[in-house]
Amino acid sequence: MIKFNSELVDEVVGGGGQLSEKYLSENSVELNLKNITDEVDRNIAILSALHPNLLVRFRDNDLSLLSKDDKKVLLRGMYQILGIKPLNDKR
Amino acid sequence: METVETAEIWHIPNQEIQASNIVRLTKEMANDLIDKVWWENIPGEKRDDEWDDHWVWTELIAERESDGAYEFLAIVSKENYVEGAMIYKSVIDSKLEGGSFCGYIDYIASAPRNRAWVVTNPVYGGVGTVLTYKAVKRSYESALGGKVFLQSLPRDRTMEFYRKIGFERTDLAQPLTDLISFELPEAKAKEWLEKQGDL
Repeated sequence: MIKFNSELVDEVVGGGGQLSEKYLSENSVELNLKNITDEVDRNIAILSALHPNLLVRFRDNDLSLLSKDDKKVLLRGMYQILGIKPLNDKR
Repeated sequence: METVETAEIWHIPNQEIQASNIVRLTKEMANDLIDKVWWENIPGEKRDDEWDDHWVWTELIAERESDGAYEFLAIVSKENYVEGAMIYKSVIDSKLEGGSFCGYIDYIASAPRNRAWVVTNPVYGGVGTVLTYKAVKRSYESALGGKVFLQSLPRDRTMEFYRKIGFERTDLAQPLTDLISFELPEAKAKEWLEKQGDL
């Protein structure tokens, strides 16, 4: 749940500009999240693309064989290795 | 509709917080609930001042859906009205921090009926804030530190809104008559996440 913040209330319109080539360097990461709708799966896929060695550390787990809870554990493990504090789970 | 997360928005007529859903925006939804609906009661002279009155969300999605890095999100009120929409790309190069990546808000818009400068009695407040915050959360969850890049309209109040959050201009040479590039640095993103109780 995203909580309402009365200090920051505004409406925005933005975008529509062609993104300059300088933002799309050779280092850009190829991502394919098209058929991944689950939030945890998406985050694992993005982390795996950004940090390819991570899944090796997790013995190339086949995500399709993991339960949702196991995937959450896997994601937390990835965050831990990367030194990222996980967001509070308020759902 | 597939709900990604829930969010609180401000119902202005009733002066109360209401729950809403952030959902995945499909082409069908965009066609039926945005393109056919958003501008139907907005007078021409008001539309002329809005940069996005010609955006066709169905086409924006169609043009990007083959690129798996894009995400299409909308915020739906309990009236089942699409109050705002956003096209987010998971990874581009950061401009503020060379050699690192950030998320990218490609398109973002609150429904015209929520814009106080377009209608006399706006319905919801905080829709744009929620969508922007969702992008920051997504960036953080993707190990990008919450960093988000976007191109703002050169409207004073919009730019002030982004500055208030902590966004910084990435190219001071850009003329103030065109889209202005902003990026939210990691430290400011984390501050916002902490303030919201998510970190």
